[in-house]
Amino acid sequence: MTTRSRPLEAPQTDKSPDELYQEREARIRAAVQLEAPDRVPVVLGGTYFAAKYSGLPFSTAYYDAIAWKEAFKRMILDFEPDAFSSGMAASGPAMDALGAQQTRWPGGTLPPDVGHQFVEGEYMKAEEYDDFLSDPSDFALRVYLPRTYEALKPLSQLPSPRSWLGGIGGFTATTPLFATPDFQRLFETLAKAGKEEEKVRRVAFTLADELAALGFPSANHGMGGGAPFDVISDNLRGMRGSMLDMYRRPEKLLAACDKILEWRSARAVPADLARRGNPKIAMSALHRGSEGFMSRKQFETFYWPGLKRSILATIDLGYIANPFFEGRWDDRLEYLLEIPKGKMICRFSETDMAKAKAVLGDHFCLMGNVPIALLQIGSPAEVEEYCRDLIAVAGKGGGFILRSSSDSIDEAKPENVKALVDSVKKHGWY
Amino acid sequence: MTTVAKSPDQLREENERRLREIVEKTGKTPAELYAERETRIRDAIELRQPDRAPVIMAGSYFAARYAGLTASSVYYDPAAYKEAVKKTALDFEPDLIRGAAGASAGSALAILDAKQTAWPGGTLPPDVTHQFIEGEYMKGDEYDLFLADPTDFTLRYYLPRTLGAAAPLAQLPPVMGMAGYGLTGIIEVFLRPEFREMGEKLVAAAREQEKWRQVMSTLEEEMAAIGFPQLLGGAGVGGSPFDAISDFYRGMRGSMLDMYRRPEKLLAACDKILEMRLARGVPVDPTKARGPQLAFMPLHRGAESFMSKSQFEKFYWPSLKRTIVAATDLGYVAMPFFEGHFGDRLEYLLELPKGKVVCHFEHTDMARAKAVLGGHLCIMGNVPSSILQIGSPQEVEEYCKKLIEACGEGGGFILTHGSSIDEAKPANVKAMVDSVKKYGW
Repeated sequence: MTTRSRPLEAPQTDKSPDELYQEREARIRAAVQLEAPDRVPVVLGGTYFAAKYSGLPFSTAYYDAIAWKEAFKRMILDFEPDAFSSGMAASGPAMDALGAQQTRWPGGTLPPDVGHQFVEGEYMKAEEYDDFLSDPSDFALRVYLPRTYEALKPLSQLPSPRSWLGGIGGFTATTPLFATPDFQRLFETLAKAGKEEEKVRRVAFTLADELAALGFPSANHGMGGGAPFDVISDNLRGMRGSMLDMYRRPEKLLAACDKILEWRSARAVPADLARRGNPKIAMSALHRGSEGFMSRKQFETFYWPGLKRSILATIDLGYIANPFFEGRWDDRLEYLLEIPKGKMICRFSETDMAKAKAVLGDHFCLMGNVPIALLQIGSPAEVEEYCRDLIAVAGKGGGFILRSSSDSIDEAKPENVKALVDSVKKHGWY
Repeated sequence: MTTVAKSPDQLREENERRLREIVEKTGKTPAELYAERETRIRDAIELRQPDRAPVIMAGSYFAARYAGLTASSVYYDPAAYKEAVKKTALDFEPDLIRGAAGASAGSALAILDAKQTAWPGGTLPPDVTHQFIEGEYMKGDEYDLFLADPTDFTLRYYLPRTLGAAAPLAQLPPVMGMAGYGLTGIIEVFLRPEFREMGEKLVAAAREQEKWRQVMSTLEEEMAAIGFPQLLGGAGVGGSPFDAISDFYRGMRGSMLDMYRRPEKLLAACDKILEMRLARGVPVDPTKARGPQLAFMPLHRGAESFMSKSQFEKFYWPSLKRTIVAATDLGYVAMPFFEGHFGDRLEYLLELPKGKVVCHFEHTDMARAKAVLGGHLCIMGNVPSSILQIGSPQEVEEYCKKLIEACGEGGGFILTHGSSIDEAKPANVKAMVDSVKKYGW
């Protein structure tokens, strides 16, 4: 393991960083277009691995943005993937100030070396679907935020902002609330959290530019194409709630999926083609649509229609959609063929890549899926062997990008990660 | 009549003296007088014959002027204004008097930089009564936004347009996004200096408004203590949804065009407003209610001169009817104020629950109103503001006498002025109130 005192240096090569950037991006672009590049490209990400690799605790990602950014750059420079995927964390001090309830994070509500956890719950109760459907921002403001942030509890005392529609009377009748100590504290907390968040933002903002200057393109340029069902399941109803809703209130669940989709499409921003990055890739993470969570029939009713529309909308905005199909999707790969050819990078976690290649190979670029377990407990030789076999199957004829099965390579051995990235340089040439 | 401005304390002393005189003269306690007046009004509403026709008058700016105050006292000196309303009640002795519904602290309005109202002592001279400034606070293509997410529309579009101090809210990202993605990522917005300033203004406005409200909030109690029932403003489930859109969001021009250009959106917005108001309607608590809970409901755009009968039937009446019925179901007595002429559309009002609504008319022919609605709804009106301003007390008395003869038969009638009496001669107002005591038995 390296130490944080080693200076950052670009690797020794005859090519300029710009030439390297162009070469790497062209490699990714060819794979997306279902062509065979000079060799299989490889993408690397890993928020906590980057910290650990530089001898820093995981909490650095939340509490020391500058150190974390240097660690991430070091990881990319040392391993030399073709593109990086950065998961910059939020500001720990901001989350402390706000009393965030939906996340536990290293150095805050978790020990410094434990990766963050998402805390699901019924943040929207079953009987609150109608409130959400009829006035979603009211629900967000007065019900959801007070439940998910301790510091925002006073918002639940607000009258509905709808009462401010229609003249000054409603608003001035509300204003005395703003002078109460509860709200005074709320305003102070928001300003404090804002300041902390901005510090992080300022540091994170330049990461992609700094890595581009060192010759590394980013593997994502935005978020988009997620499943509306997951928004409900992850954030509002929890897994238990959303699963029961498929049986008990299917219409409400579907109406809420529609609402989320409608809301997103109204606010979608087209890809900025003037900025760096070609193609523009928009990522999303898909959770509850896999075999382990719902039947194919449920998938067809509750998950796929919303997901499909969401992916199509993302494509319309000028992006290549890059959904991360978490879990196993073997029995539902055929649905993906309804998405236009060449417009999606299918990133798989546990799906059988031979099957994926057979079903989707002529239609989409595949991405994946070296098991993180292997990266943690295997040997470099085993990793290399696994990658070689995967490249032979999934990389056949092009249209493939190598990557770990998830970016949670928190506990991976650095030499195994190195073996993964290096494998394309040994076995990935076309 | 001109009076030298008096301090609230002087006014209070005078009021106490006047109350003692009334008690001596009538031999009744304020509580007995209160009960008598309330019974009279209740009988009229419920279509029984009261001992005499009740009379209601507005306090509003008339009370301020009568007590030697400026119109701006409503906004800037609530303690003095409150005494002015009491003085007016004690001097004129109507059966019920209305305070200044819908006003706010002038200092709060100034801090908030309110754009939809011009008010005396603030953006108007001290003796000019408040004005409502209509405009397209919602644009024609924003109906969908409002329909899909009304709170988002309120926070990020409506408030920044109608309150200068709330302008930074336009920079907020959509609130609904926080259900799903949380606050992180957007929270820096609160760091911007203009948000800080907005926070400070809200708190300052809050303090001012609270001071004003504390003084004004006891008006109903204090009026009851001297024997006068009060009219609630805006309770129930609001007024006409069409008016909400026309007055507050789209303006008259916008809403009129919408009847032709986007009728479905307009109707959907009426439904949405109704639905939202029904959701937060609070029933009358019978253990706390003192007398009939009259809900004042000014109606603007449903009159003959604003829309045809077929437009009324399609755009105005359905949601108004549901509003009034809902208010009735919650235990209120709706008191719609039909501004303008409603003569050709009176028959619709027969669809309202019998004996549970008071119809206040401005220009509508009262003989026709009595013919159509008599026996079904209590009617109230409508001594013209112009006579009260430029006529003589004799002319007023004569007018009232005829009106009582035309409408008072069998009960179900309350005498009042047609609309504002801001500029009325006190002697004429006195003649109007006294007329029921001569001819209304």
